[in-house]
Amino acid sequence: MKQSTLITVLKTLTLCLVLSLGSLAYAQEGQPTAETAPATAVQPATAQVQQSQAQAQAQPAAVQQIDPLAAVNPPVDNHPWWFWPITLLGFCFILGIIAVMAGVGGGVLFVPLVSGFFPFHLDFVRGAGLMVALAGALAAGPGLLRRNFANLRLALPVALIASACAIVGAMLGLALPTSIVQTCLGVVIISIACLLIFSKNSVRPIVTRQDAIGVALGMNGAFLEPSTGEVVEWKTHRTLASLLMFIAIGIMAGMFGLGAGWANVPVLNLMMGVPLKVSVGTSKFLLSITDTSAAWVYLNQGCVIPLMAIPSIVGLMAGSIVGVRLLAIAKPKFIRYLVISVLLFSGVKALMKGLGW
Amino acid sequence: MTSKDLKNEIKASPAQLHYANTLFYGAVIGFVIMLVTYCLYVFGVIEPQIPLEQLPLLWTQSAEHYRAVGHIPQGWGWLGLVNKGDICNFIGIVFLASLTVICFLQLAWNLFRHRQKLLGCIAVTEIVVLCLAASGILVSAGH
Repeated sequence: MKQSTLITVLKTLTLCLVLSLGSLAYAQEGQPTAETAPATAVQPATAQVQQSQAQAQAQPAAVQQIDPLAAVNPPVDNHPWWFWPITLLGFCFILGIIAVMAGVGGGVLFVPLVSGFFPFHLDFVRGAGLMVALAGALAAGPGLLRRNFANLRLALPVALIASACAIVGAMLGLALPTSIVQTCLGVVIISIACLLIFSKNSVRPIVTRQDAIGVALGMNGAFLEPSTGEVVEWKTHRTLASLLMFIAIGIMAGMFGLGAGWANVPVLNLMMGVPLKVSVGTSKFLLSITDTSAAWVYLNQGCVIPLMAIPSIVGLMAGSIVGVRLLAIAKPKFIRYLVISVLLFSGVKALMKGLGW
Repeated sequence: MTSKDLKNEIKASPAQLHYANTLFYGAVIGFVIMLVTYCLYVFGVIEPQIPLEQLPLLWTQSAEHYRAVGHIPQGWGWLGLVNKGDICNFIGIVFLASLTVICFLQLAWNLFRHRQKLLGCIAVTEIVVLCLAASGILVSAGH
């Protein structure tokens, strides 16, 4: 990469960082007072917004006991409406770069960080998180399928289980009190960080004998390794146990809006014995199916606010494109440890927020 | 596996290639629609259902509250408000979310045509699951 390009990228990153720091400052400052809130009546919906705001502030403490994160004394924001979408765009741009360099999906970083440092309710963060993961998977899917790095025969049965369970997860996540979902999210994020520390993926796992289910479903194939020109054949084992694992993966993907690449890859690679390249490719493609089913549940329940979801999608996708270019000069090991630290930090923050500490 | 089989195996199957092409063109169309409607919304070309300056008061609270206060309908009710700036953004978003169903319809057809009945049945079941999720029948009780 040319030096001038690198300088431009660094300048953009600095600008995004400054914008993102604004959101971090907000998270630490606490909420501004109600007097500073904008109060112009525009149409009936506006009047109701203000009325509900006043009602929410006058709510008794009894509601607080049911759900400490719900609409009691809701935080009032005195920033102009465009502040958060622009901040989110910059934040997601950085997130996209880091995610690519660390080899994780955007959703797993998006949900804990945005729910921890931005003023949005967890419902909208999860809805946007699923849209972000879905958009990334839709963009990457065609290339992966054409190069045979994502295998349809492998993906179909897995996707059916995961997508059906993602619907259950999404419904559970929207039915449970926010404090419980936030606490569980904290535990899951800390577990993902531990998984990233301890799991050692295998580039080409050895599968001596394919099991009956794997044979029946035709879960085998071959791909051309571009770096060596070698044809790599693969087949699966422990298929039933692995398919059962996708029940849990689907539920978690739907419940927390995380995407599920962090769990798909270890199960496909370490349990089923699929080569790492096919595991990563099929996992990314799988997200386009699993996240679709969960995203529909969130969409139907009004959990997707376009004003915040679309800048998140655009920012993360633009960041991913720059991330791929920077990958050549970056130190992936350092980035990986950075992501693990960020995940641990945001996991602890989500846990504390959920427990009301 | 013979070398001819292996050669065929390293290439993506025709069904897989069809799926990839539909996904690619669909995703491009979806992203373009999404960006255009978003620009029309934020630059005030189309009046929104919820005024932009009021959104920071709503996104801090639950989706249930947001729907109730902003008169945002559940399920496919948004189609009735598609002339509003914020709601018309759902055209692109819903198109992207529908893309997998479109791809699976094509895939199921291809699989049955090539007598891959088991995979064909899995693809049809997946379509049923996705349509069920999209239908809006599965409504959660709320927090």
